[in-house]
Amino acid sequence: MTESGHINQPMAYQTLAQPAEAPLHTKSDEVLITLVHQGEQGAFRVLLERYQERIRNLIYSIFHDQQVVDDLSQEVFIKAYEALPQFRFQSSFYTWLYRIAVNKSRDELRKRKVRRWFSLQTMLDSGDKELGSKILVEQHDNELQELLAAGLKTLPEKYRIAIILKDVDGLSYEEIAEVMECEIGTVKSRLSRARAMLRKVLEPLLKENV
Amino acid sequence: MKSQTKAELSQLLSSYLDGELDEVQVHAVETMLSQNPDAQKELEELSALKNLLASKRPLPPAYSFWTRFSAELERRKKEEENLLPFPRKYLPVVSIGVAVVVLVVGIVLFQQRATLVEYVSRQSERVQKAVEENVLKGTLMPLFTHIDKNQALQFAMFGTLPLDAKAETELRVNEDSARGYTIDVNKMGERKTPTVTVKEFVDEVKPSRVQLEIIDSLLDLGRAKLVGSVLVAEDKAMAVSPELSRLNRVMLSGIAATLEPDQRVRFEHFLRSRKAPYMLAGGRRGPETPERIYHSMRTPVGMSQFVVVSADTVLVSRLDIDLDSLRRHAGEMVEAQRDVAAHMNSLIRRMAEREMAVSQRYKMPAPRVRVSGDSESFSIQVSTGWEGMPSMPMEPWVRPRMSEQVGTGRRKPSSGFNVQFGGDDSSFFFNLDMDSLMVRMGKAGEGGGIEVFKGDPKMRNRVFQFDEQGFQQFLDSAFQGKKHKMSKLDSLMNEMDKRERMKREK
Repeated sequence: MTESGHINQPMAYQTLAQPAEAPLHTKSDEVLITLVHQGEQGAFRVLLERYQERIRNLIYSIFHDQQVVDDLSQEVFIKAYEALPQFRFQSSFYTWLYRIAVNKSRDELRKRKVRRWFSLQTMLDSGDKELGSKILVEQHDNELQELLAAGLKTLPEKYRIAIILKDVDGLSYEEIAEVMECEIGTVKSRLSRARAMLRKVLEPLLKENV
Repeated sequence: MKSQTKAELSQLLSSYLDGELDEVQVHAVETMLSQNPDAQKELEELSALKNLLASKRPLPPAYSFWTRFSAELERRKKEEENLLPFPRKYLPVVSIGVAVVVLVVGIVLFQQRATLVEYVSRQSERVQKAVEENVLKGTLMPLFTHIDKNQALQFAMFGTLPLDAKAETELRVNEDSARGYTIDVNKMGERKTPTVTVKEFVDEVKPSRVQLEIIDSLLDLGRAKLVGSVLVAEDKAMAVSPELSRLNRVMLSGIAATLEPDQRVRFEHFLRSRKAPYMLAGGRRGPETPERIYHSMRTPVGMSQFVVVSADTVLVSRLDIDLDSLRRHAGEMVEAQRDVAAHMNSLIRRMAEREMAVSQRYKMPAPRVRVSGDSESFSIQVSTGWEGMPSMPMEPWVRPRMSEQVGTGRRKPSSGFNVQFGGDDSSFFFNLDMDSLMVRMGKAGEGGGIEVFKGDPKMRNRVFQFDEQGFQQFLDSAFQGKKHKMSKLDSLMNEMDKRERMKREK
């Protein structure tokens, strides 16, 4: 017996009786979800930390508003935490999580009634040629990101989310269809439409980058 | 390839770009591209767009995301527990039980309907009266909607927030352990609060990236609380949360608790050099865990009480407002200017009803919250011990700094007491405070008194008021009678001086 009251056991016995547990962060999503189902709350933390940045960046791409990011990401994970007991492995965890994030974002967009705050398209169409030349001249990294965000904001919600999921997050057509709850054909046409619209809005910028 | 519409061609190019076509389609597209320069150009631009989107810069990582998430989850759980006075799994059983009770009560009430009608009409009259007489009318919105992190830090350090763009009027929180807390709204006059920025803090205190992330979250939480702490109605009435009176100290404590001892020394210097009314008191303890720090910022559920002030009315009301939605609505109102008035009006109606419930449940003794002032300024004084005062758990990481004018530095111990008091004010107050271990005397001027800080637990934070005649009696009984205890203080202060000397010599 040791001072702390533990019985000294031979090493071989210890190894057989208590195999060294792999750390949680090395486990797959499926294993972690099963552990959460079994009441291992620490496993949810690993899932959250695994995906928090992707979800935060997805929301940031949609809103381009840093104030919304953490509140809404928190809501996404709270919803995921509450709904996880009902998760039945019919899809991958991250597409399921993305679906929650996209639905929450849509709700928030509708609530805020965000509609084309800064429409580059309108400005270009209305003859503000200066902006086009500004785009050509001022291509600092920050401005590039700002212009891209402003361009994305001009897109209607369903096109904006589709192009972000594809080109920013790198999801496949199947995954986007699952996240957006639509057919693959719809994903194709939304992506094509989104690109056409964004191409038109950011035309001067793209000409420079071709 | 057969002739295609422009939309079909674009979709094909888009899928080609994503690598989502089969071999036959890929071959067809490539043949078409070799013959069609416009399509080639379109593909190049689409490709540039795709690259541009893929190069989108990610946000800096949120290190304290889990902490905030778990704190919020815990808050919601507690809220839910408070809403349901039984485990959730019994909800169906309880629902059935409630349905039966409602049915039985319904039958009884039906039999007693005459009495009931009379009671309800009396109640609705009271609610109606409350709505009509209530001070909060029209659209309600937070007074502070655009607080940046620098202002949040400034509030934490000084307890002040500018109320107008020119910073001529300010809201000031004063902490006085003897009399409670005061929230003043008035002209700044000569005493302009120094401005501080988070950048200065970072440059001087040098927190690590993780610490900065926690501090950043603290300032964010503080901002959110500030937004929800002062509400203004259309009729210029104000609802002020008493929580505000302690918020700055809690924020400052949180910042101090995040820091390592050596950073705390730099932070103390940062506070002192800007004449902040607080000093650090954490000793050489290590930093707290983020969970504990965030915990101190959380308001206990059900403590959302407000002091509502108008030109001629003061009342204490429990306003169960969803501050997050209020904040969001205020944000939208600034941007969109629509749909808010109706929502706010319904909130206010809810408040009136809440107020009725509060007045029945709690007896709010008037002297505990004292409001004074005129059309240009007013002051809300909240006494310690008032039931409405939120009991935010607060570690003693900071404490009020003694003002420079009355001898900030450690006094040289004296064998006797050189008591001075001036003015013809007949009232003095004595505050004996174990924490400070200082003797502070000679505070002259109007409304002045003598504050003796001394290590007697019985006397701790007690306020005694004496008239001029009683003052001598107090000296005899309190000072002379307890002089032997004061000698302990002398020796303690000698010891402190000795240590300081040794430190300097080193």
